[in-house]
Amino acid sequence: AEAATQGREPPAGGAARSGKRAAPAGAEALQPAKLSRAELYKPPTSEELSQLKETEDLFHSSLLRLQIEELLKEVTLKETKKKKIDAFLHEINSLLSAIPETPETELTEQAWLPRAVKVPFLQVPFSVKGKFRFLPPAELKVVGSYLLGTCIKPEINVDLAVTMPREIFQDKDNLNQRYHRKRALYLAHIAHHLSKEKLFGSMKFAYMNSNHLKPILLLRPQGKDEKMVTVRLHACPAPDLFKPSRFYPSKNNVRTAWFMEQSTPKEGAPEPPTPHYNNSILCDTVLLSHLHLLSSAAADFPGMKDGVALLKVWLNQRQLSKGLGCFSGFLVSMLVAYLLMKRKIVKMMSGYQVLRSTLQFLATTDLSETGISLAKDVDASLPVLDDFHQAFEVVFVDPSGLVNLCADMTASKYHQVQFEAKRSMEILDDRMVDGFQVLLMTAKPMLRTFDHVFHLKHVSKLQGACKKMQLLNELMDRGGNYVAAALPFIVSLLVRGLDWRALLVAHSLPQTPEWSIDAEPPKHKDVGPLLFGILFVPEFAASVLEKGPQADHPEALDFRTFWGEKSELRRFQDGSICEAVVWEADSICQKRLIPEQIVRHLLKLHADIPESSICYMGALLESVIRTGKEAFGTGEEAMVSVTCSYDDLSRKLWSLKGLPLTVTAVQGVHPALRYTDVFPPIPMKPIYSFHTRIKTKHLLLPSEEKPCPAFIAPLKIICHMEGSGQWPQDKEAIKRIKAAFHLQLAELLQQQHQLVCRPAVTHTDVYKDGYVFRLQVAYHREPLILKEVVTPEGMLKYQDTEESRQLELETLHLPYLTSSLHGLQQQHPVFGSACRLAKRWISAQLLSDNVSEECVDLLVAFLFLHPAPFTAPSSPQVGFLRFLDLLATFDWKNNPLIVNLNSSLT
Amino acid sequence: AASRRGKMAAAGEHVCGAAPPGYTALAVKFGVRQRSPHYLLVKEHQVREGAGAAYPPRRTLFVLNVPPYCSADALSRLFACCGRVQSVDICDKPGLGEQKEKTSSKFFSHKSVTGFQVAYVVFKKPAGVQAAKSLTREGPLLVSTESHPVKTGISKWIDSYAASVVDPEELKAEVDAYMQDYDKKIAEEEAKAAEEEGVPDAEGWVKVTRKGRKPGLPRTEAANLRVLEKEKQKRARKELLNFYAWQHRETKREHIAQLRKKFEEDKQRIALMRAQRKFRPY
Repeated sequence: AEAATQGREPPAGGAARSGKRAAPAGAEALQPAKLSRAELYKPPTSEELSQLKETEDLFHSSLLRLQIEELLKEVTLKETKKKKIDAFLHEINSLLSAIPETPETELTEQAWLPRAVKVPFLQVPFSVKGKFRFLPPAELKVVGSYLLGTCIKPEINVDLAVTMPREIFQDKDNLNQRYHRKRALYLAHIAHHLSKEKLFGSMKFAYMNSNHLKPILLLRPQGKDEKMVTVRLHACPAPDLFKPSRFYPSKNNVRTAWFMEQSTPKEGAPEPPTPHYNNSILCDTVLLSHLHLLSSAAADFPGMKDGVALLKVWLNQRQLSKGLGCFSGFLVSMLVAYLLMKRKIVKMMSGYQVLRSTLQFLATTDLSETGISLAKDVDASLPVLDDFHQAFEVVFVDPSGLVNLCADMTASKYHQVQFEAKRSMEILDDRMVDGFQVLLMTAKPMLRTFDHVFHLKHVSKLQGACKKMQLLNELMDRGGNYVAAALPFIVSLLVRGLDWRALLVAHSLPQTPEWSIDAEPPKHKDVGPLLFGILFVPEFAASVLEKGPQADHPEALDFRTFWGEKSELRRFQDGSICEAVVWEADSICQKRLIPEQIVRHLLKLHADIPESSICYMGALLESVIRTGKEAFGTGEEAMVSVTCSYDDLSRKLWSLKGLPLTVTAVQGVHPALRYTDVFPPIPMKPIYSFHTRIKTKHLLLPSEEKPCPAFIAPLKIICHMEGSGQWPQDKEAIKRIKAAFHLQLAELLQQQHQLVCRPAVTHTDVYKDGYVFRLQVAYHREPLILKEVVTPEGMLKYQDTEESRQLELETLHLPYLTSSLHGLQQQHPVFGSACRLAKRWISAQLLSDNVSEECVDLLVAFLFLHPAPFTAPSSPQVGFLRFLDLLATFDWKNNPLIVNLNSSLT
Repeated sequence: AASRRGKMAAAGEHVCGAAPPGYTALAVKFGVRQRSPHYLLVKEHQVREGAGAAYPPRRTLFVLNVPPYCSADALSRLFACCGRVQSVDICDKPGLGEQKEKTSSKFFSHKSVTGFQVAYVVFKKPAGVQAAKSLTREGPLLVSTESHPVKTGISKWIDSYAASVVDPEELKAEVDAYMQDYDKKIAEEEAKAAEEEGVPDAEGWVKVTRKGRKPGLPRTEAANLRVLEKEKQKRARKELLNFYAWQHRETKREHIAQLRKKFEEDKQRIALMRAQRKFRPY
């Protein structure tokens, strides 16, 4: 981010400066549209009228329409490239049908496969019955987004379904991963043969959506086209090879004895259902029927293509479209097809409207509670939605009524999608935000989205978690993938533990990298660190108390087992005795880290995950704004005590007796009074022995031989005096009167409240509670008087001068800023700390001469007032990260940054 | 003239290479311990016409490049060896000396100047100027001497802090005196205005002021604009809308023209954004 900000101008404080900046860049800047009168008023053609009408009906505005068109142009595939890809596919087609067959061998006997190709499958346990031989594919067919025209950059994938001939399979191939291993061997043999060809730039294996039961072969063309396209080979069986009833969600297809490598099955023990395993086989059988469904939906529906492309961009920006259990582009297409079936979308709609309707549907429907199904005719023999709900967390059943398209998705992931959709709908309905920019052009990585994030560094620790949580059945179902098996349980544990503190608990999707064909397939632990994100409810996140049920209620036991030793009986003020957990935290910054304590405690207690494997990022940066001694924390408390003292002083000023004019307003100017001072002043008392006393002037002068006394930053406050006819209308005279007021204020404060005061010409210093307040009197007409200019004709004109501008800044703008930001701090308690982090960064980059303090205040306020597409930050860290991102990515040259304080601009 | 300037420059050159033509460079050091000197640039004060009384010609020395630590006192001490110094005036820009503030208030007139300044040193006799210009022969002059040290560091800060503390009584007295003067002035002006009220001048014009029985409009820009705005509103109220068929046609035409204009503007914005590659989502 640092490099990115260089060379860009920091935002100017006012409009005047931005105006100056725009001038030299005039060549690129916006010019008013020039249309001749004749062109503007010529009679419209019917075509033009209909286009204008369409824009009005189908899109928000013509600008949005143009923006969307440009975006689609950018991400969709060009015709010329399509031709090249078609040619490439043709060549693959002819190569595939020419692969020779192999003699039949045992599945475990893999010596026939040359050493340069490794089987792309984790064969654990290795021994399995069955025979395999390679036969050339029965059918080759392109499926998926390429045919529908919905595949978008940056990754152009063409899915090629390779149907394995019937003869390869035997009875009971549905059992114990036999089908999956045959499939893997089939792909390995293809890889071996294609690797001899010079056609390919690279050949790699990958797991389809990181599901390790489903390897695929990736083929990329040679030369400079290598990045252009990836052809993904999916091996699949003939559609009617297996009997569907074997794969109902309640059926078992992985035997415990085999999985545990026991010689004889245990008698009498029922085999657990393996819904995910079943689903992974079923998926392969319906590839073609899904293609038919989608192409019939997309027929004469141009909006669908655009809409799906937009939705894919939307998902990509939110990092939801890759990894195990992702909300993939295919899923989106199926969802649009579903909405079309339910007539929530009609074929008239534009891409923008498809986007809107789909988001609306996602925002309002919870697929983890009420699943949906594309199956039209209800067949009594098929499993019902409830069966699916028992087996899966999220349910979206395909037209065959057998496959759950969201099988791998966790409920938490779906809730994240739902949350994003809700937020996006709010943004689309908000006229003040550029929805296009925010929804489709802004990336939302987890680090900037969530208030706190933490890594699970060693995912292999989840093996222990599976053991602790007794997830053997899930492990069998997932083919030994302990990450996938444990993840839903870990997340639900966190959701329960952070219940009312967290708006959303989300996790990153496990992703395995692709690997070359001569390498061993990646293990489960190769998914890299798992990332979790927590979004807080600001009011409750920092609460120290977790109140449980009353001690004599039956739920109390449940509460105790959930929280472990932390739970204790406590008597509350209303006399009730309840189970409760109290977290230790003294300062505000420690309270903000209570969620960290909860996460660490629960993961240790229930999942055996040691603290050292959790890398929690909640307050890594807060050490740079730590003030003074430990007890002061990160300065929030110091700032509160400054404000208290200031409030008291202003009350005293209001009620001062003996002033010729009354005080109408007292307003703070100093950053500490809006909670954004990097190091707020700390109360100080003078050490008398370090000073020489000058009796005549009532003065303590530091003495040269003694150590330098501590610096006490004066806190400037403006004291507005009542307007009156007695004020002189001459600037020199006003200065004198103000000086007289400073003298009198000092005298009265000393007399009535025993405060030590030191009057001067331009201010009065008041020493109170260890702080020094610098009181400055203001008269509301003074800036106006400074502006007065009399023209030669005797007309009175008002013109800004350097002096009047300075005075207006001090007495009008800064007090307004201070009070507005003070209000903002009340709404968002972390505003001040985020702002102070930003200021530290600006100073550390030696930029503080160019970017004023007030400017940083406003920039950070912008992040809190206009957080779209995010939510307003609830931790200083995320606020700071977004500040850096704002500096790096905002288009300072062409757009003004408008901070709508108090929503006063409409 | 060019040759003379050349000679002067050459004369300056053997003292120090940096003196601009017409000026003489005088080496000045802060204290004894400093190794490299600072150069004051001096020349006789010359103005083309009408030298002010403040800086009499031939007796005034114009000094450039006066460092911030060099006060008026220090300057007069530096030049005391060349003849009696009548006055020293330090300002941030060269000026004529005429517009020196008349009111030298202790509290209200001070303007703090930072950085390097210029000074006018007025000698009692013209000989002083010449002597000052020939000071180059001697070694560097010292600003801070044992007898008159210039304070630095913490003692300077303590001094300036002590100086910044005002005596309330004194300040009060000054403010009171000023306000009495001011009130008197205002009262006089008012009395004069009251005298002229309604009395025609030599050509028969009567001055209308905001006071009196029939106050006039204030002559300000804002008031003028307000009047114009009111006129405009009055005219708009009289106009009939949607009365004739042509008006109806006109509004429709206007609507389409507006849409077109907006469309054209949007297209331009898009083109601009496209040029900046604003549509690459990732």
